[in-house]
Amino acid sequence: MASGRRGWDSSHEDDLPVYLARPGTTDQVPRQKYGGMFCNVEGAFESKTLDFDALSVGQRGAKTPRSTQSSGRGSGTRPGVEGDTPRRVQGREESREPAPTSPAPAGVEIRSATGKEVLQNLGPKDKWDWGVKLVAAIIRPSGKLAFLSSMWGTGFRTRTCPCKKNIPRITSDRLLIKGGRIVNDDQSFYADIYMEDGLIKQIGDNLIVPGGVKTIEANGKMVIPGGIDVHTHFQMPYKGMTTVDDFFQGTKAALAGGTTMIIDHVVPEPESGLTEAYEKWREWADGKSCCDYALHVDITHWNDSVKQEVQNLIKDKGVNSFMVYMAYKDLYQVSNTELYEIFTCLGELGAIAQVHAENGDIIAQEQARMLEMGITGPEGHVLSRPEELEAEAVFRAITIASQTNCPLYITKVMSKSAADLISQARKKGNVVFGEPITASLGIDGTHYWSKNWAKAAAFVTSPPLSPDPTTPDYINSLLASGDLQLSGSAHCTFSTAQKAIGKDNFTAIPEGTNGVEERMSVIWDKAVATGKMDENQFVAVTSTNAAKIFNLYPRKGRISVGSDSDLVIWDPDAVKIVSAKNHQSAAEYNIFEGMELRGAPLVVICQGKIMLEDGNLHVTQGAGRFIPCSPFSDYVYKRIKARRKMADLHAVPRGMYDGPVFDLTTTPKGGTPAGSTRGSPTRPNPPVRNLHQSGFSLSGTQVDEGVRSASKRIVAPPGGRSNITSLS
Amino acid sequence: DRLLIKGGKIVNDDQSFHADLYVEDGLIKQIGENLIVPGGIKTIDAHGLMVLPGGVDVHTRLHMPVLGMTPADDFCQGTKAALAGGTTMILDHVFPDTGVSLLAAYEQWRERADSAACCDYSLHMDVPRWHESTKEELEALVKDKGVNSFLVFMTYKDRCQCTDGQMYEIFSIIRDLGAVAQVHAENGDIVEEEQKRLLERGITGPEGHVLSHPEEVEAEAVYRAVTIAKQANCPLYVTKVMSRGAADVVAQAKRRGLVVFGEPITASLGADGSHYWSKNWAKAAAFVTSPPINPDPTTADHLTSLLSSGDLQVTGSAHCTFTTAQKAVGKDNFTLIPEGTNGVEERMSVVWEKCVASGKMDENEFVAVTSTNAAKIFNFYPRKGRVAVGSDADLVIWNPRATKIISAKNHSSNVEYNVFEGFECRGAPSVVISQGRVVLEDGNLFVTPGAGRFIPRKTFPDFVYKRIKARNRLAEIHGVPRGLYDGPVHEVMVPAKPGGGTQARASCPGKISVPPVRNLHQSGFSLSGSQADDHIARRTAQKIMAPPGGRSNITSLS
Repeated sequence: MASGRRGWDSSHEDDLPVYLARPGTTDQVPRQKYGGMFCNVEGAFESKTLDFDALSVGQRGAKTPRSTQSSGRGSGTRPGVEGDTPRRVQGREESREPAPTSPAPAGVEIRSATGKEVLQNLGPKDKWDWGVKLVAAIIRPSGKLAFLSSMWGTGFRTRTCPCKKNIPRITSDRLLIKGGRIVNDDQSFYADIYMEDGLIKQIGDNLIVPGGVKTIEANGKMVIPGGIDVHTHFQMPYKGMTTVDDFFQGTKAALAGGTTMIIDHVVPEPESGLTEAYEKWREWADGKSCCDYALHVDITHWNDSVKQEVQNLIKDKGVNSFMVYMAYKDLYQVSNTELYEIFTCLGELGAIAQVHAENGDIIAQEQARMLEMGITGPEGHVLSRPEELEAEAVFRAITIASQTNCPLYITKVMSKSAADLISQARKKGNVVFGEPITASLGIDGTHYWSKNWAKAAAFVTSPPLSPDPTTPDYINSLLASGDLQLSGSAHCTFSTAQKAIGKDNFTAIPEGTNGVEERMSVIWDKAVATGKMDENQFVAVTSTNAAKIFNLYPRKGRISVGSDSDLVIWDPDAVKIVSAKNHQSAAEYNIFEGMELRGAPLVVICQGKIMLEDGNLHVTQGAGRFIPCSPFSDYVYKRIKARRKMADLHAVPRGMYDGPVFDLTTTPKGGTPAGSTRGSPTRPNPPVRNLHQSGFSLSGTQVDEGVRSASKRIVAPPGGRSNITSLS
Repeated sequence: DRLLIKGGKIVNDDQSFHADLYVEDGLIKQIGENLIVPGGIKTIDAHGLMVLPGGVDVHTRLHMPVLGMTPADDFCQGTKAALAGGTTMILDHVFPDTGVSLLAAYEQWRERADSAACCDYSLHMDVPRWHESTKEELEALVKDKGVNSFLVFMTYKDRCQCTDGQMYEIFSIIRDLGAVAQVHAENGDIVEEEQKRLLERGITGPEGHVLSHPEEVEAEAVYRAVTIAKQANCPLYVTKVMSRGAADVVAQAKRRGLVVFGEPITASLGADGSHYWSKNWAKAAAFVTSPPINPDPTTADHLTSLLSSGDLQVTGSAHCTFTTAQKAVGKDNFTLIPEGTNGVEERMSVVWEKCVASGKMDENEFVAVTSTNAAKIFNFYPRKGRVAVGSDADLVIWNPRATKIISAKNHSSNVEYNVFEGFECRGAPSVVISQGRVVLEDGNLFVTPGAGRFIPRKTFPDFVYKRIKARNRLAEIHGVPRGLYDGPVHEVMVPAKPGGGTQARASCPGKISVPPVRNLHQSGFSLSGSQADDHIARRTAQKIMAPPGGRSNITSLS
C-alpha cells in the first residue's frame, strides 16, 4: 500500500537513480509537506497526517548521500514496490537491487480498490520506522495481490497477476495517483494526488482518502498538468467544406497526445455577426467535444456593431481573446487603421489581441506573379509568402499594439525573423507573446517541393513552414528561453480531396496542418530530450503560460489543490513513431510522418476521468465543457494597467499665439489652390480639421503669462510618453 | 573665369593630397604641382585649407506647396543659403499638387528653378497618387527628363499615402526603369489615429506633433518599406532618417545584404527635439517637420555614428522653411502647422562639427557623406562629388579651424527661427566656387539667380544597380515538375455559396469583391503529354531549379 518510491530504505539509497531518490532530491532537508507552503490553494494542509520523519532531521542528514550511480533509464521499476514486502526483506537487500540494472517495461499501474480499506493511511512517506507502515499496510485484504504486484515491482516482472489487467471501469470519479512526481512550471516534487468530482482535492503524502478509490501507481513517473492547445480549428467551415477533424475527432486526438484542453478559433463569415458564429461554435463543441474547451473569436471585419458584439462577448460569453488577420486580402484582412481601433478597443476591454501576421497586400502581388510565371503547385505557396512578409507584419503589429498599449499575441510564429522580432520587442518592454505551433517546432518546409502533390499540399498552411531547415531548432530554443511563451497546434486538417481543389492553383489549396496530437511529444522530443528546456519549462510552454495568458490559471495549467483534475502521466522514455496510419486525425497525411518522438503520455486524465491508458482511449463525446475566460488576465494586464496610468499626456501650457498669421483665404487659388494638398480626391472634406477643439481657452492665464508658478510642472517631458513603453 | 587654387589639400572620398588646381570654363582642367597656366588669372591661396568637392544636398523643398503657401525660401533664397554653407548642388523634390500631372509639375519646377537657382540643381519626383497612367509618366520622366529617383509617401493619409500593394507595384516599375525608389517612411494610419486622439485630449500645440509621430511608427514604416523593396528587388532610399529605431532598421537591412540607403538630415543630426515643448509657440512650431526631430537627446549621436560607419550614406537638409506667420496657420491645431525646418546652409558645418571635429570620421568620409555618395547614388559621379580633372568646378575651400555660431540673425534664410540657434560649430567654408566662379569669399556672397543649371541624371546608376542586376539574373523561380494530380477532388459546393460560401466571403464591405479563386485559367499544367508516362520514373536530368530554401537565399546574405 505504501506508495512506491518508499520501497527503498536507507541502505540502498546510493543505488537509486537520482530522480527516484528522495523527493526534493538533492537537498538534505527532510521533505516538507508539499501542497503546503507551495500550494496556493487553501485547505491543502488539512489532509496531512503527522509526518514523523519531518522531525528527524538529524537522522536524515546523517544517512548516506544519494549518488547518481545509475544511468537515467526507466523510472518505473523501483517505485513499483508495494505493500510491506520490501520492508520484510529489508536488511538483506543486496539481491534486491535489480531495479537499476533491469529497466522496467511500462510505467504505471492502475488498480481499483477492493473497497474494504476504509480510510487507509496511505503509505507513510519516507518512513524509516517501517513499523508504522506495517500497521498501515497489512490491512490489505488480498495479500496475494499485494505480494505479486510487489514482486513485479521489484523486478520479477511476472505479469501474471490477473487482476492487474482487468482494470474495472469503476464509475466512481475518485482517483488517487500515487508515487508520481508532480511537475509544475515552478518546481517538481513527489507527492500523491487525490481527485474527486473532477477537482484535485489533496496533494501530499499520507493522504487520508475514502475507500473504493481507483488508484494509479505512477511509479515515479511525471505527473504534469494536462496540455492546453491554444490554437485549433476543429470543424471549421471553409468554402462550403468542413475540416475533416470535427470537435469529437479533434479533441480525441488532443487527448491521445496529452492535451486536455483546447482553445478553438471561431471564424465568422465576414458579413455575419460574431455572436452568431460564437453560438454556432458553442453548439458544435458542446455536442461533440471530449475535453474542456474555450474559444477565441476572430474579427473578420470591423465596424461599430462588431465593436458592440466584442463587448458583449467579453462581458457575457466568456471570450477574452480576439484575432485579427493582417493577411487574406479582400477577405479577412484589416487595415492599419482598423488594427489601431481594434487594439484600442480590446485594450480597454481587457482582452488579448491576437494577430495572424502576414502582409496580405504583398502576398496578393506575389501570388499573382507566381501564377503568371506558371508556378501553380504548392511550392508557389511558400514562394509567395516569404519569411520577410511575416516578419514585417509582426513588426507592424507590435508597433500598433505598443501605440495603443494593448497586449499583443502573435499566432503561428513560423519563421526565425518573426520570432526574433518578438523577442526584441519583449526586450524593449512590449507586452507581446508568441505562439509557435507544432508544425513550426517540428518540421521545416522543404516538403513543399515534394514531387508528390498530395504530400506537398498537406504542408500548406500560412504563414508557411520555413524552408530553412534550421528554423525548428531555432524556434525551440526561443521557446526554451522564454522569448516565445506558449505553443499551439493550429490544427486545421483537410483531406487530400479537399486540398485538391487547389490542384491547379496553389492559392485555392485550403490551408492547415495537423498537430494537436503531436504537440506535446514534439516539444518534448525537440526541446526537453535535447536538453534545451527542463520539465518545468515544458509544463510552462505546453500548459501553464497558456492558462495564465487566457486567465484560466490556476484552474488549468497547474497541479494544485482546487485545480481541475486534468492531468497527464508522462513517460519521457516512450518512443513513438508518428504515422498517419495510427494517428487519431481523419486526415490522410500526417506532416510529421515517420518522425520518431521521445516522450508520450501514459495516462491522460481529464475532468478526473481516465481518458487514455495502455494506449486505449476512453472518451465521451460531449463531455467537454466550455470554460469561460474572463478579461483583464493578471499575467497580461498588470503591466498594461500600470502603463496606462503613466501614459497620461498633457499639453504644454502656453499663452495664445498672437503674432501674425498667414492668411490662407487671400491666397490666389489659381496655381496652387489652397487646401488642395490636404483634400484628396477620395475625401473631399475640408483640410481644416478640429479647429474648434483647441485646448486653449480665452479665460485666464494670459495675464500671468510671464510668471508661471513653479509648481506647474510639465508632465510630459521631452521624450515623453514613449519612454514608458520602450524601456531601452 | 579662370582660376588657380594654390597650396590647398585636395580631399576626395578616397584620399587627400596636396596639389594645385586649375579651373577653366567651369571645369577642373589640371591638378598637380607646378601647373602651367595662362598668365593673369585669379589665384586663390589655400595654404592650410582643404579643397573639397562642393556639397550635394540631396533633399530640399524650395517650392513645396502646402495649403496654398510656398516656402519662405524659394529657389533663389534657398540656393543662396546652400552656397553660403558650402553646398554647390541641390536635389529638390517636385511635389505635384492635386490635379497636376507629374510631367506638368516637373515643368513648373524646371521653370521656377531655371530662372531663380544660383547653383546647379536636379530634381526628385514625388509620386503622391497612383493611377494607371503613372507608369507612362514615370517612363517619360526617366527617358526624357533626366529624373532617376521617385519618392512615395507612406504617410499623409488620404492625401499622398500609398498602400502596400501600390508600393510594390511602383517599386517594380522603378526597378524596371533603373531608378531609385525613395520613401517618406511613417505609418500614416497610426499617425492619423494618434493625431485624432491627441486633439480629442485637447493637445493642440506643437508637442502634439511629436507625440503623434512616435519613433516606432517611423521604424515600422522603414521596416515595411525595406521588406517590400526586397520583394520587388528594388533599391530603396529612405529619406529623412530621424530616429534611432529607423536608422537601426536601415543598418540591419544593409547587413542582411539589401540595397538600401539612409539619409539623415541636418535637423536629425544637429537639432534638439525637446524644443517641441518650448513655451514659445513660434519656436516650438519652427521645429515641426515629419518625421519629427527626436526628443531623445542621444539620437543625434547615434545617427552620426551610423553615418560614420557607413550604415547611413548621405546627408540632406530637407530644407523647407515657413515663416512664423505661415506656421501660425496651425496655431490651434498642430496638424495644420506646415512642416519643414531649415538646414541647407548649416548641413556641412553641422556634419563637420558632429562627426569630424569629434573624431568619428575623417575628412575623406566627410566628403563621402556630404557629396560623393550622393553623386554616386543619383548618377552624376564623377561630374560632381569629386575633385578630378574633367569634373565640374564646384569646389569648397574649407577652413577646419573656423568657428561659427549659428543664429537666425545672420543666416541666409528668410525665416525668423533657426532650429540650430546657438549651435557652435567648428569648420566652415572660406571660399565657395560654383561652376568655376567664386560665389563666396570673405563672407560675402556673389550669386547670380538663374545661373544654376539643371543636371539631368541617367538611369541604372552603377553604384546602386550592379547588385540589383546580378540579383535579378539569379532570382528566377521555377515550378516543381509534377505529374497531374489525379486523385479525388472535393467538390466545392456551388449552392453553399449564398449562405456562407466563397462568393459571400470575398465581398468585403468597401472593397472590390474579388472571387477568392483567382487565375484558375492560368494553370501551368497542360493536358497534353506527361500523363501517359506518369508512372515511369522521372528523368534525373530534370533537376529542380528552385531548391528548398530557394530564392530567398540569394538576397538575404545573412
